[in-house]
Amino acid sequence: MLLRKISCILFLSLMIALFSSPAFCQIEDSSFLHPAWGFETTEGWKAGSGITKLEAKEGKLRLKSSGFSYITSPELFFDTGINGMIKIRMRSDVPYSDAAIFWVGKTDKTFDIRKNIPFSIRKDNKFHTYYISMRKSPFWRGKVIQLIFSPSQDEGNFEIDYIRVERASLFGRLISGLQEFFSFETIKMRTVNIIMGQTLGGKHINFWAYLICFAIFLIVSAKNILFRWKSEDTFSTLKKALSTTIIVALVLWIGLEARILMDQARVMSIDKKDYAGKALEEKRSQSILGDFYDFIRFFKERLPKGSLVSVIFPSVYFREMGAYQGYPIRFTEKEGQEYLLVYYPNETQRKRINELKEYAPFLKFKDNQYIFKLKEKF
Amino acid sequence: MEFFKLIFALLIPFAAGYCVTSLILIRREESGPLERFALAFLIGSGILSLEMLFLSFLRIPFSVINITLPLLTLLALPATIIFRKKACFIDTKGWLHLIKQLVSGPKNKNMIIFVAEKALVIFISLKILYVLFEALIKPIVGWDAFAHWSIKAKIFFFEKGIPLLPELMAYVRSKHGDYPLNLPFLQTWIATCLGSWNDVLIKIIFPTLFICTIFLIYSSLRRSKERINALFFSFLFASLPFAVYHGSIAYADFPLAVYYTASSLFLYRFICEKKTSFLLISAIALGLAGWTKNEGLALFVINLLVLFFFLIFSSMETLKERSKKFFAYAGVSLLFIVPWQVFKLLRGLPTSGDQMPQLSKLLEHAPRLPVIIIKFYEKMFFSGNWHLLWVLFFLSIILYYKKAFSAPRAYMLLMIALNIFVLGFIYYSTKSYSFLLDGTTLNRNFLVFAPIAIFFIGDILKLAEGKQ
Repeated sequence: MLLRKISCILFLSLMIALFSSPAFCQIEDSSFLHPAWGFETTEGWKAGSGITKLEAKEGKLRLKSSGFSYITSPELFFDTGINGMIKIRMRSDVPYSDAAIFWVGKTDKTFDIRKNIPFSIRKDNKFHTYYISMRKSPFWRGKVIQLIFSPSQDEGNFEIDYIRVERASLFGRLISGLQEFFSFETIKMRTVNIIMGQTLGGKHINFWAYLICFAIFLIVSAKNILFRWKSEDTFSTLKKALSTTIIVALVLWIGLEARILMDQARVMSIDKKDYAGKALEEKRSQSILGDFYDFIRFFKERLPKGSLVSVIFPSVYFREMGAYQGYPIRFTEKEGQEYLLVYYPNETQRKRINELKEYAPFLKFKDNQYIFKLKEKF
Repeated sequence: MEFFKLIFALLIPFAAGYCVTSLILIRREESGPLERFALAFLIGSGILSLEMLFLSFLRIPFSVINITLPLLTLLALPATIIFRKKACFIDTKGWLHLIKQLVSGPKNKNMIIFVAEKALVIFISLKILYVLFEALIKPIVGWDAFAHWSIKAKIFFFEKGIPLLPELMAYVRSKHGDYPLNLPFLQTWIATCLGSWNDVLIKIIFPTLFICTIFLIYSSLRRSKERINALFFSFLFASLPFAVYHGSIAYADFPLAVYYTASSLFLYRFICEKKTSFLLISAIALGLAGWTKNEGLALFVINLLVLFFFLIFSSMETLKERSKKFFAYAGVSLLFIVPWQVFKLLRGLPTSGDQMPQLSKLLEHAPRLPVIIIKFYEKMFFSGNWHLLWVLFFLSIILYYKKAFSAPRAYMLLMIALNIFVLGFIYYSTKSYSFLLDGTTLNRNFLVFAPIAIFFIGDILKLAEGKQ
């Protein structure tokens, strides 16, 4: 009897796996229905913003990115109904960056920021296959006419072995879910205001935890009501079910914590690499965007202590960080102070600087990093 | 050498706090060693920063001697009283007992509980080590931390006090001049002891506060529960990703949460045991919360309301006695809150008037209500900040509704409910609504009462047979 049951289960599992496998479903395996690129050539993929190099070599598409970057696919026409998974085998040397796939639909031809699936890529510069379940997005529907792949938001090198658009098999979805759950929440994603937490199947992990708790509550209640209704009243039955649910919630909490511990270990390893054994000045330099700290040191050394200076900086981050690290030099946004600090001005700021006839260049640190001085004070 | 300077910087507020704590909690059984440790640092750091404010009033420049000498002179009196009364100063017995418990074998205990206890101690220690590592490996990088808090600390350090020059004062004013100075002064104190501006080491305050919170939760639960229960819920607190993160990033929200946790736990203890000493500790910690962030003023009102309701429904004493307790509580808290408000007035620093409720627009703001409810729901239940804290909190209330809604626990529940309500009301009626929409403050607001929510769950749930 038991053997029959086991054989039945095995047979059913086999059938499910078979029916959901890409091989079975690809009745007409054409690149038209399921586009795929092996990159003997660039195969129509083009460099978008931030890509400084794009070439196909030894069956790999090699990219160099200078920040937020993307590449665009050739013109496509495939149905999302039979394509729920994108498989990308690639490697990267960017430390913990988030990649993303965007798409353009036939009916909604505009590029829409909501139409994207982000995923984490590993930094070890080894080839990994990433399974991206596209069904996580409610916008993955109808026909797709173009894919846009953004490998990174940081500077780095990438090599793509292949990109395949496939049917979402059970195995693929399982791997995709695991990759999603264990993906590292990058430092950038965490802010002082929120830690996003893991997702699974595009839904927050807490959703699944609540679902489990609710299912347990229902199961235990049903079991107790069905089998013990004579001996216990419904109220105490529900109470027992709720107790079990709380225990399950506590166990799930520990599970979530174990997952968070993995991220914290990774954060420690990154911070150790970035900061351990360094002098205070080096640590400051490491923690501040770009080469801004070098500029801070430059003006702190050159300007008289306690000076109040006008600043033209590209963002409020640089202004406030400069004010903090630069003290006792004090900053003001008002023009007309004896000194004017300029750090990577944007187009509008550049024009403004040209209009400021009362200032003349005083010291140059690097390109786009200057100290101006009032002409009358020279 | 820096290490010793850092230890000295921590030791002075700790010693000051220990004197005050021992003077209030005079008997050994009133408080365990871990709790005394936590309270000593919390109260001591608050007293030290307040003393720095008085030095600024008197225009005395900050230096190790100038700060330490008056503090030690002031504390000589309580220290003498403590020794004369043979009060519990250094609780050697308590510490020895604690260490014995930590290293002892299973004895008559259930082996599973024994192993679980040791595992929990290891987990909590790991979390503390993580927070220490993260705080002390890198400089201040968080926006508010450098733009609003530490910049003032740096200015005070270089100017040896709150600057006297009007132009420098204007500079301080431009950096959120209405924010209280507890945290900047503490950072200035550490830097003064170190002799240089070290924006890595000044963050030692935050892991210390993290440790203090764990000790407070553990000690408060341990009084009525088995050790495994107390350890488990302390572990749950130590595992809160948002608390762990804020234990290292030099924002003022975490110190505010720690002071408020201390105040709430001791107010609850007063409600349970009705000893005035606990009320005094609660009042001091509450005052320090108001001296840490402007939000502390709302917390002051909340705890005052809870005490008011307790005293109204308490039939223990005469009305006069109850009124005395209420006004003493408010008065002691205000002792810590008022100096900064007076200082602001005298030095022309801005007030937070623009964040006052716009009562005339209450009806007009009605469309905000569903948004507020949705935002609260999302942040409480669907972020990685709290694990499953809030669902557990509500499930515990449903399961043990009798316990939860009957005194004394009902007062703790009232405290949490008032926190949520006041938060909702502030977002509803003030300009802070924009911060709710951009998601910059709500989680940090929840951080303030998340520790007491954990305590509440720990207090009503029974994981192992306890000594209720």
